[in-house]
Amino acid sequence: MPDEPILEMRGLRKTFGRAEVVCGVDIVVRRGEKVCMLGPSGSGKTTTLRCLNLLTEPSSGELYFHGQLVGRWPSGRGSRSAANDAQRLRRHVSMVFQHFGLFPHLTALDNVTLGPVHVLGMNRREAAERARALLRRVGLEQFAEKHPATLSGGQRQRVAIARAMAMNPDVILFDEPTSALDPEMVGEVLSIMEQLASDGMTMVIVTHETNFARHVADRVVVMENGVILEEGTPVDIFERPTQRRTREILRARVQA
Amino acid sequence: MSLTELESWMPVLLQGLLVSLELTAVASLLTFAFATMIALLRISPLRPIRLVTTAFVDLDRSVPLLALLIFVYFGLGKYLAFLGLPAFWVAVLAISVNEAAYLGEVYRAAIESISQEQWDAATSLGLSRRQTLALVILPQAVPAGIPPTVNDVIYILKASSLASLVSVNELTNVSTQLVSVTFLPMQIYMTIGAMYLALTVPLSYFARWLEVYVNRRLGLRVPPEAAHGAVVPIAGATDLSAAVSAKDATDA
Ligand SMILES: Nc1ncnc2c1ncn2[C@@H]1O[C@H](COP(=O)(O)OP(=O)(O)OP(=O)(O)O)[C@@H](O)[C@H]1O
Ligand SMILES: [Mg+2]
Repeated sequence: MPDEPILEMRGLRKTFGRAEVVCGVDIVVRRGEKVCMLGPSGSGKTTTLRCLNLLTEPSSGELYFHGQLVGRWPSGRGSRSAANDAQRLRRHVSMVFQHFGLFPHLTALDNVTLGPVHVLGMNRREAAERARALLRRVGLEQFAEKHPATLSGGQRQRVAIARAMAMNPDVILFDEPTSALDPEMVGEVLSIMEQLASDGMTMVIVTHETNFARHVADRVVVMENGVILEEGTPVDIFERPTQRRTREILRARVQA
Repeated sequence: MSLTELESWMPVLLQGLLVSLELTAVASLLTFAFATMIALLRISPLRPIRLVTTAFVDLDRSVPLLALLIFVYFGLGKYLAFLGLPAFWVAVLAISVNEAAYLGEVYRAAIESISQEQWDAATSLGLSRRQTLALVILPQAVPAGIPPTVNDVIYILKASSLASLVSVNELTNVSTQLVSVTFLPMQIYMTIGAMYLALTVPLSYFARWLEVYVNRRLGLRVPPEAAHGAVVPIAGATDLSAAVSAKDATDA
């Protein structure tokens, strides 16, 4: 079923202290879909993304995975069973971070095998074989035994993408995967992501790369002040936005 | 002093030295175990556990070792004797419980120096909190904890001399007894001073070397001064102590 929803968040709100930074967001991510999220700094993109794998706990809202309720907030449930559900969800929802989040004490290969071995219970030999294949896919096979400190930013982010793929996830969440990179390394990471997209991976991508969003996204979501300002196909959003603010935000991005 | 005199004290001093080393070894192991426990309890997700541990640590850190030792030995002596606990073990327990509060805080600072991003990355892979600690956080915190640990062994070796006050026949105690029969305080105390020195100095060099070695093994950055072979035996320890005091200031 091509448009089967994989992740569905209803009525997401998140407050930090007294500040409400996400104020009622609904997001549906369907199988194979590429959703790009754009918006000015502080608009709540990262917070929304982190609520999709419960790295941040929603203040209110409902999260469904393959149509099944994962949690409803505010929740009166014991924190232990909620933590277990969140942990189970994360096996299927991988994440790629702006600052890579590689484990510096492990080699590139061990970064990639950690999840499969300790979370999926795969044996080490098989995990290492698959990890090598993934590192080959991101063009880093010869760096398998290197530690992250010896890799460039672009190479680190490619290892992080291989690590996310190694979990065989249903969806991968990307939080500004190229924002921390030197300009000359942005391309290598985006092209890996494009390849992943064309292989049919379901992806949610927070990005400032409007060109990438134009080419790759099935749907673009524009956020501001904790709400979704507008959402639609790249053509809708980039060629004929209905909101004046959308146009201003996108123009600011192109110029920046 | 003549050579024969030296020869006649030596077996006595060496016997005392042996007891000092035993005391240091056992107390160090226990301190390490208690400190690890304290650090893990201090970062527990459960608030009541954190509160109780914090209260214990604060109390423990405010009691001088000598006072604790005297209290346990003379104050609780009756009950401990009833339990059949010899002076050696009274000293071991007092030293390790007292030291663990300090070292536990150093370990906690080392754990807390690992960024939230590492927790996030591990958690997002589906690792549990326990797996995240064991596989991601602790391995990175270990190098920072090594110099303070070895320095603590040095401290415990020196603190073991306090056990002489509760009648443990360790180095300081036997040399005092020796002085009372030979009337050669200067020579005897110089000799045991040299013995303590011969143990502590190599230990501090070892601490530094071990930190560099472990960092290399883990592929982590080596502190520049260490990489060049310069000897700054307790730099890591002072950094973390500063971190502990700074943290205390913000906690207050
Ligand atoms: N853990 C937190 N505690 C308190 N405030 C937070 C926390 N995380 C985010 N915020 C606040 O929430 C608001 C939204 O942050 P968020 O990171 O979601 O924005 P963003 O759209 O990802 O911005 P950017 O483009 O800068 O990454 C910001 O004002 C931020 O300061
Ligand atoms: Mg962000």
